[in-house]
Amino acid sequence: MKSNSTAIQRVANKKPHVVLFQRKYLCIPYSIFLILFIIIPILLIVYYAFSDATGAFSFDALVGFFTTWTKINVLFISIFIALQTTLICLLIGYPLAYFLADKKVNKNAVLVTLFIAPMWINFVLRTGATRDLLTWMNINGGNYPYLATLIGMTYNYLPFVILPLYTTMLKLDRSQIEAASDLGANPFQVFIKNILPQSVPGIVSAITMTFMPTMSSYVISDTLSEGKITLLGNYIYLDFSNTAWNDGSFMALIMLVIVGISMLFTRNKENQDSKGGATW
Amino acid sequence: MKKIFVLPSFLAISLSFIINPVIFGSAQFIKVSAENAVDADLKDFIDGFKNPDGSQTLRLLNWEDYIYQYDPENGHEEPDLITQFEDYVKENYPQFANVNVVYSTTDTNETMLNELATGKASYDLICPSDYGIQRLMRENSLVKIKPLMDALESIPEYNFNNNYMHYGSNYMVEALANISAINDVTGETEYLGEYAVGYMWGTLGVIFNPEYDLYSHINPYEMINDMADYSSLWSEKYHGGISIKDSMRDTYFVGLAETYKQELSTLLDDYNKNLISAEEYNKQITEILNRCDQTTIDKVKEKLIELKNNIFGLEVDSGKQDIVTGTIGVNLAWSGDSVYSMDLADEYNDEHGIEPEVGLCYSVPKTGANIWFDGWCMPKDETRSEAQVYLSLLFLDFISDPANASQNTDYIGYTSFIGGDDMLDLMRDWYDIRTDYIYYYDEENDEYYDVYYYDENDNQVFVWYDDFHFEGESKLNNDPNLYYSNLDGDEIDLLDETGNQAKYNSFLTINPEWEVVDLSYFFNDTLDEYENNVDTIFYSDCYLPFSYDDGTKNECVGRQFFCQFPDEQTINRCVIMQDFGAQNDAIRIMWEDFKANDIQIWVIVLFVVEIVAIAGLITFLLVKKRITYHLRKNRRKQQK
Repeated sequence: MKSNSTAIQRVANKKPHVVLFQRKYLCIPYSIFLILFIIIPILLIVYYAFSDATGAFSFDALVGFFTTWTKINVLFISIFIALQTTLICLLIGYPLAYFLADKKVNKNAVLVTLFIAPMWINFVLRTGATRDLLTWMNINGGNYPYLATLIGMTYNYLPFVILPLYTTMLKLDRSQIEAASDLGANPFQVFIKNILPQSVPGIVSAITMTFMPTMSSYVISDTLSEGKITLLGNYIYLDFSNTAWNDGSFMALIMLVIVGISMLFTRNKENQDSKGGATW
Repeated sequence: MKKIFVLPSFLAISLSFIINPVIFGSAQFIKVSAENAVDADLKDFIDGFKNPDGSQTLRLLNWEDYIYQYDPENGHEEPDLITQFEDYVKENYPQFANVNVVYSTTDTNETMLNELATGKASYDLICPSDYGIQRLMRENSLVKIKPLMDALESIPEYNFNNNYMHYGSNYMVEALANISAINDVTGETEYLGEYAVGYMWGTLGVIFNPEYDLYSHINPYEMINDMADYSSLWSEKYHGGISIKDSMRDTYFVGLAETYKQELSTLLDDYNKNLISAEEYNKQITEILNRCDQTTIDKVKEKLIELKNNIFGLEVDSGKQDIVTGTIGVNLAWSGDSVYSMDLADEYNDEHGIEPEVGLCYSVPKTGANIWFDGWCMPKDETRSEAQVYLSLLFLDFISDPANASQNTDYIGYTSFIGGDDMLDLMRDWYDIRTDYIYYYDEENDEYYDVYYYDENDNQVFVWYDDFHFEGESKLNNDPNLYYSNLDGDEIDLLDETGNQAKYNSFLTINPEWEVVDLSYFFNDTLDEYENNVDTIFYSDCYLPFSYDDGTKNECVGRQFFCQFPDEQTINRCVIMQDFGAQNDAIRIMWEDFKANDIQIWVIVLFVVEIVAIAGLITFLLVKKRITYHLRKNRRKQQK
């Protein structure tokens, strides 16, 4: 009997459960967005990649991709172009970001704004203008498809390299650099042993910001190479516009896998040197 | 009041249909009832149109920039054709007080078909190209609209003119109607004419600039001669200035023509020697230019890859600008785009005072070319209301009205299926040299003089000749206030034998240099007031005084007029490209192979060098780090 009464008491003492606003509810709008526009499309891609025209499960697209020389070929060219773009962007962007981060050179951050400004214009319009400019300079895609594409890609993705590098450079430990040179390191040693290691997080995020988008871009290569350079993005579009959804989806999946791998790689890297300022 | 008459008359008509069609019915009425086995069903169906229920929203899917729109800056001051249609329906068909047109656009046939296939949206009327319609027919997903239109026409109550059948150019309507497709579901062979109402048509040819910088060493007339053949695209002579279409079907066609050029030119020879008839010739080249077996595909692939090394690039849209700005000199182009380019170039030349010797030219290659149609058709849709069906048919009737069709053509620049007086007027206004202002031709000195008069404000007014019925003739001839000037603009006195001011008589003088173009084949049976074979003869000066090497005339080289209205002979060597059907995938794979790049050696070398360098750098840094670490450790040990 006693136990019974305490149970009743316990129930009576329990505070009425009131649903209060919780901070995590703020995530609901984005979660809906995430499910609708990211999770479901990815699942659809996976579904189409592993089914045939009738909707039955099949490995046709997979086998087709790895046995077709031209598809591997296009994948290789995409990686090649992406690598070139990333390297050129880094070579140009790294010193630039270093100088921009120097308060003496870049008062009021006006210069940074100048370098970032092209990002505000839609890149399709910008590419059209680049094409005219290159034609005027006689570096047209008809004669130099690779060169024209690389110039266009570099122009488009340079801001994405400068920005993360710039934010990292701002956080460089200047006193450490000064100490290094005071203690007798020559400028090259200062750079190799001090500045470079400090800016690795910026480099890593710059690479992620450039490499993958370049691989999947297709308007730039299409316009600037006059249709002569075909990247994976063009191929996916070609397949989708010819109702070959399965093949197209599989290629999209390949792209996703490459993104995933590069993410894993960079995530490790970022955790290692997480001194802050990993991304911008 | 109207309704009172309408109801008994409809009753009488339907009664007559039951009792005896011969007594009351018109000839067409009988024809319909005799031809259509499903007549009773059909009648039941269109009976529902009298008081149509359901949504009055007409859903259209069309190409971009493919219908007349309000654009006062370019002189198009009437409201949009869609708005005009809504007003027209509200005014004439009181049951459609709430009509509303939803107009969507798309950019390729494939997107259009995809949208239907995925069921993303449903439409009442869509406007795919010939092969798109064929594909839909194969999939059994279209509604037959011709029987509906004929049935509606036969009953006056519906106020349906069937303009397409009356004003559509017989030549084109037939060409479209004769395209067949096998319905995959029923297994029957069906004809496009039952399902589609033609909208616009054109050819795929080559537009080129004979005075292009890169080809300055080539005589323009030599180039004109060369461009009458697709093989020139492969020729080293034109290396680097050619642009082709980044579009599977169009470029495949060119590859086919090159692959089978031997067969095609043998056929052309036979035809020229009158060994085979025009129909037979067209039938045979149609067979050749529609081949898509695997051996053919492989051969075409080889040819296209060869072509890829000779061209400037591939494009779908930029070409029509590039040929004007001088980025390219030769472009594979659709006729409508070519008209656009030529207009643009002419405008530019006028503004800058440039007078090109030849200007941009358009050629429909001699060994066989592609002709295409876009037509309206009605996809099957369970949810479509009767009102929507009726509205769709009314819309087709509306856009096939010559007045509206000419407005459309004027705006879009492509050639309509519709003939009729209004269309002929527009075409004469555009292309007949006689509609330019009047000038006086002095036969003795072989000189031309402008004719003008001064209005009350002393403004010089040129006399225009825009009335083909010569009403102004007598007035002009008796007008003492006419003045003449030579082409430099100096006013001169022209005196005839009696010493009076010369009488204006120039419009009757036909310049022998003018090219005579006969469009009676197109306008045949569509004209009301004008007379076929008389008013359909055009005089044009935009043709070049030029003959080909083989002695044939210049019919193949022309400017806007030729793009828009190729003559009958040219059309006869044009081929309708069928849907590839089951071979579509094979051709797609071929196209993917064609699009992929050859990997050049420098690419591989550069790639390997970079990878090695990056890997080397990383290892070096890691090893260095390790060494430094050990050194430091040792140093600390020593310190201890």
